[in-house]
Amino acid sequence: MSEYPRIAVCTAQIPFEYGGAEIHADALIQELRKRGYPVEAIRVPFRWYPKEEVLKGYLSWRLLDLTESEGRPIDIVIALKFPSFVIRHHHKVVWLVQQFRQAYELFGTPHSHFQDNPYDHRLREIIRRADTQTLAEAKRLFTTSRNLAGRLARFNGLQASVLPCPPKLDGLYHCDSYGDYVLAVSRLVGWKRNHLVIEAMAYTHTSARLLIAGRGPELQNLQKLASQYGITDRVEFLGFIPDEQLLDLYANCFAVFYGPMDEDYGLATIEAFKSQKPVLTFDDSGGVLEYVEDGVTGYVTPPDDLRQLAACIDRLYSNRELCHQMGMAGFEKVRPITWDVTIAQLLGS
Amino acid sequence: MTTETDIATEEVASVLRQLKQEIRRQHLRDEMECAVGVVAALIQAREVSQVNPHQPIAWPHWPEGIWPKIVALLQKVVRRLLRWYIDPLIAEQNRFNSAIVTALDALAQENARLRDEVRMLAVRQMDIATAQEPYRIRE
Amino acid sequence: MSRLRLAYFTPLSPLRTALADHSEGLLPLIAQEADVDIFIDEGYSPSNPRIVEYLNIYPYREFSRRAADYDLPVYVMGDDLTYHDYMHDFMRDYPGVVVLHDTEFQHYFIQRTWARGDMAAYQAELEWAYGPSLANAVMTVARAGQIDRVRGLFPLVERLVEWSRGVIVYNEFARYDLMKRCPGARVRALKYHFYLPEGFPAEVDVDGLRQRWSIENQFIIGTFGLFIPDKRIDVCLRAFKRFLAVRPDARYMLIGQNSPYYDVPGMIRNYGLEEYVTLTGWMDALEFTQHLCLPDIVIHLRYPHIGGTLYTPLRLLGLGRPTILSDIEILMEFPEGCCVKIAPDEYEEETLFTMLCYLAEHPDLCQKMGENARQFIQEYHNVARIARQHVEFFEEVVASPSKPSPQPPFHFWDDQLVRESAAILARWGVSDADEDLLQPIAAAIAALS
Repeated sequence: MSEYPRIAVCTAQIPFEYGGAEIHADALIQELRKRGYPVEAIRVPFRWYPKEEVLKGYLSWRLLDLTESEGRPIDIVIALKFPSFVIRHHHKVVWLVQQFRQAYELFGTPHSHFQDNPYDHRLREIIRRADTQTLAEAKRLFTTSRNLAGRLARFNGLQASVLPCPPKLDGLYHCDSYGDYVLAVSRLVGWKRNHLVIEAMAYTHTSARLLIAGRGPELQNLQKLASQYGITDRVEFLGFIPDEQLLDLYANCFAVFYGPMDEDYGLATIEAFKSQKPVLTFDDSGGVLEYVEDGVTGYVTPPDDLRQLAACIDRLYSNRELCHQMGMAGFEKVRPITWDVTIAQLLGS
Repeated sequence: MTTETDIATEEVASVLRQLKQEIRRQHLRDEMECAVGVVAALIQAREVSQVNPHQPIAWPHWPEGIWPKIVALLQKVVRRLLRWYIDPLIAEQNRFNSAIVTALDALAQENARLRDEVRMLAVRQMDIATAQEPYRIRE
Repeated sequence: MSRLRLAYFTPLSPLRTALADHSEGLLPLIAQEADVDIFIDEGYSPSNPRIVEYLNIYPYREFSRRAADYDLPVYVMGDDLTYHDYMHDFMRDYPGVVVLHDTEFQHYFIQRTWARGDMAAYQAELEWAYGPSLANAVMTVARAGQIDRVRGLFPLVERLVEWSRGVIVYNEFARYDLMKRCPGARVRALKYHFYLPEGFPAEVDVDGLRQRWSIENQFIIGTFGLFIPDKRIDVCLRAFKRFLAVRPDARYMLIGQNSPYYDVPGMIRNYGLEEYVTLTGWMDALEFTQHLCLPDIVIHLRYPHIGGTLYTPLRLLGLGRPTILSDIEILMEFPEGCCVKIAPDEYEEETLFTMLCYLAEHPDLCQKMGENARQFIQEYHNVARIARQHVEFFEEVVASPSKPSPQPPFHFWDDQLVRESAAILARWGVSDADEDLLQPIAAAIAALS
């Protein structure tokens, strides 16, 4: 019988979606198993629409009993994404990847389907109270970024330690060359703002190319945009990329673009720096800015002035040594972000 | 004729009734736990709020052995000699402790009053008053 | 349907309790629709001729022998053990309808157990009603002599309701509170009836009363009843003292009996009001009710309350007296416009003083309020209708099974799931008013069947 504690990793699953949060969960499970921990993934489907489903989703997690399985205790529960952290367990560790942002800082913006009406206000209030109470139960409370920790403090009055998430392929990232393309890796959804880098490409004066890896509902719109700007020869949509190819793409780009709107973390940034490549981002990209320092590890430009972004792309394209310098600076920044460190923190060892 | 839909609707209504009832009971239970917990804690705090400067030495029995007895005797002498210093400190601490417990008690009472006020507001919303409009005196 | 046969357990005059007065107003009318026998405590002879002449009255010990003769026992319960102890064991052994004039029984049970040297019995009552953990906490508070701070939340009424086949209360808030505590109970909220004692004159000789107390030309403020701390006489006296500066001709009549636990005479002396305040002492029901017509303005404060409807305010409003009441849940059903309500908050004294001044300056408002009050009571507190409602409830209880069934006839979902879900949702702040939020959850649980 194993002497290692039995661990359940809990995360909510949006069926047929596989993004950063899902990668994060899979990576954690894989790394725990590699180190000999008996670990099980507990995934419960969650739907955030219609709004009537939200409270049901919370309740279903709370009603679960993970204290033991087949007569043997489950020693530790690690919860990653809302609303899995509402689970009850005597040794709950929360490593918060995502909160239900629509009920928090996105409330009242076009990105939230919560409206300014009594029902939505009430639901929001209950979500907030449930989050606060159940997160406070955690023996250890971590977030993947200072951005998210700040939101927890502001909205829930809770202090969390920042524990960045190492990328799934940590240890395998490498740098082969600084080629002729900017790489963008993300789900193709509106708030990842890949449409802005496509527009910026139209303003560049060099032969820099843009490769976009990932799938999502915005693909057709982005393709139309590239065509509209007449840059289809310089913008390529790669779709879903297997890990090995992704490593090569990172290894040979000259820069990585990652400019989402107020992202909590931004795994792509870490992957870029692990591959020793500078990152291009926007000044409102949230957690990404905890790593990208303008002029040091990449460039930070305003999202409403894409000519600046274009100029940065041209500058890096024309100066591969600069790419290397910035990339190395980024690499040093993320050097401590490893799975050994992360798991030791999570398990308190 | 009662249809399947009627039965289903009736079942949902029944569960809803029971959910509401249980929620009311839980809220009441939480209120009871909180209220009595606060008062009980205050009572216990007041019981231990006064520190005694006179801690027992070699009491009720002297320790075994000659050297422990000599040490205990010396401790008693030192305690007496330091009384001029320690007693005022303890008195000040006790005054502070009393003040804190009194303040907490006052807060607890104010909290109880506010709880009553909140209950009153909730009851108003329930519209359990009889028809009042005809009797309102308008300016 | 043949007439119901009721065994009525109630205190009667000359016992000094308003419940006697209440029962004596109702019973003659109930007796028109049902056969009523009364079972009383030992040690006194009932004095109300209307009751004595027309109804059978028996010592309570005879009930065991006669129990089979009745369809339903009815127990008129208040929180004073002195008048209700005799019926306690009968409530347990012969379940019937309990008429709760109060809904808080902490002192009743303390007197019944702990004060008689049986602390374990008191603890057992607490444990039965609230579980061991809460019971221990309440015991800590009770041992320190501070039970009054939590008695409203731990009323110990649950046992009485559990024993009963039905419960009558006299305000909606009391019903709401009882249903929260005892969801399976059959509880009916009826109105307190308005009636005047036998011999009440068509026109009260107010001048004669004023002459008797030597207050012929004074502006009179009055407060009535048993003077206990909850009546907030200290607040009233302070407000009155300030009012004196505005109306030097004012006098304050405290018409009723002083409780030994509340030093009202001492307070009057401390405020230097001996010349301006009169404490009359106890009066019988007829004399007391006539005195209700004496003051120009009546103050009737009550905070905290113990859940029962207040009989004196009802009589005051029924007689059209301008009355200032506490704004509390049990008086919710008296509309503003029939009386003035003030909140028992930190501004209570200031508000009371302000209202006294305002009402003294606006006699037309006082008159209008009085007319409204009279009309309201006549419409909603009609004794004949209320007596009929009592009998209807008794008939309903007799026709029903012994205990009301808490379950619907068809269900397959797990009660435990509902309870657990409700506990979780309540902790997250969901209330019973959040129907929109609860509906989908109820549907999901129901769909499990």
